[in-house]
Amino acid sequence: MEAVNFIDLNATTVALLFVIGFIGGLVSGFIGSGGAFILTPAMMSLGAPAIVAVASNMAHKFPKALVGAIKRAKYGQVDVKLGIIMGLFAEAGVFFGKEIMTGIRSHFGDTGSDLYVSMVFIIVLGTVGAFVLRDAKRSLRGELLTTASAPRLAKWVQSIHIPGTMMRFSSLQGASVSLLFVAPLGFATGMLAASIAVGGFIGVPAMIYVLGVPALMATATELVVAFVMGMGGSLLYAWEGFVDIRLSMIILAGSLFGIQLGAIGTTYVRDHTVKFVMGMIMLIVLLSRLFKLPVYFSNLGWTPALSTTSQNVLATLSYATLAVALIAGAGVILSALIKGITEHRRRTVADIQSLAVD
Amino acid sequence: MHYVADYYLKTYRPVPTPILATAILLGLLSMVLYFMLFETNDMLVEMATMTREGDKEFFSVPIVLALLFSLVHGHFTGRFWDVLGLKHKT
Repeated sequence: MEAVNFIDLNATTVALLFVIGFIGGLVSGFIGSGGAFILTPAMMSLGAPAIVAVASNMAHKFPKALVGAIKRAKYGQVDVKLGIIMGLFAEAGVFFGKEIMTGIRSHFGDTGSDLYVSMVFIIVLGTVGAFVLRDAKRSLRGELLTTASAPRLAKWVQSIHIPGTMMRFSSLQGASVSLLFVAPLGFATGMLAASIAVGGFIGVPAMIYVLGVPALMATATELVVAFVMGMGGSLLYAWEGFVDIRLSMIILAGSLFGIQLGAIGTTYVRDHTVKFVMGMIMLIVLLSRLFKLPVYFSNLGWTPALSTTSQNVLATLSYATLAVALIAGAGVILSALIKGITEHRRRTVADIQSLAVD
Repeated sequence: MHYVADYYLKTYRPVPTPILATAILLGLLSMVLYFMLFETNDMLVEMATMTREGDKEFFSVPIVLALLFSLVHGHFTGRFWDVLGLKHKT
């Protein structure tokens, strides 16, 4: 097995991690979940091995999820029971996913696990990114979103009665669903989280479209799922010594600033802006991972060896593309935020002035 | 009550003293935690290496640190934007 090396921290790395954390948090707060699809590749681009990037990302995410869950529970948006049950099944998924990760690493080394993480990213980002952009286009045209078929699926799931497995959830307005439906959804969420640290890409849509949980409650309950499985997953990775807590905490420093600003931003923009930003960032990050594939293939000896120059060019292209995704995403979000706040304040000033005239 | 400058509205915005004081206190505490993180840089790397090599004595250190940092820094950042006047649209 190759030795795991934690990256050296200097002023530039710390500043970069803080900014990346801030932008990741900004995106997470703005589009509801994710952020890790920026953070994990970014840590990999800075030189952290994939397994350390995933483990460190998970270790910064679960306490953040706890803070968020407590906050949203106060607004009555959290279904704690569903969150804990899905979280426990997700835990099993994390365990399975982590076994796959360590197995790949011991057989193929860091390049193998880098390739595996990149492939999962490409498949998930490609599928979800395309779906989100399509959804954004529809909402721009003013159509009702994807609800036509989804609740039908949820209604069907709620109508299936399997004795001994039924459970009632407050988020389903008293309806009950079989644990046999909840279990695989939780498991898949955990497996994805262990591989790329973004389980929410499966968890949230699954709760909305398969179980019938309202969107607002699904994103809030996902925080409980993220906490339960993130804590367990982090313990597992910490037991193996893969968590670089220095990276996790520097990212957390920026991320907690960003996540709150991103969440504020959503209240000033229209729904389709959120989705366009999400889809756009996902597809650019996907492109960034694509550039690295030939390097991994050649390092594993699956394709003819690439010259050092070609490897460097591809690595630079991947890094530059990621930077474009980060800067473009942050730019769109911040400009939407500034525009929204300015407009809102202009109206507030006008209201105050008209009241004064009256 | 303290008054913070609001440049857009060209006025001063009232911020209750306890909110401002808590934000400053949490900010200072957060700074201390990060200072200690950088001071113990080598020790943290060493602990992870020991864990990977089979000595599990310090394996839970990252988890405890993660919870502690998020608790302090999370409460600080929440108040930070609030004090600056960046709030949800109402």
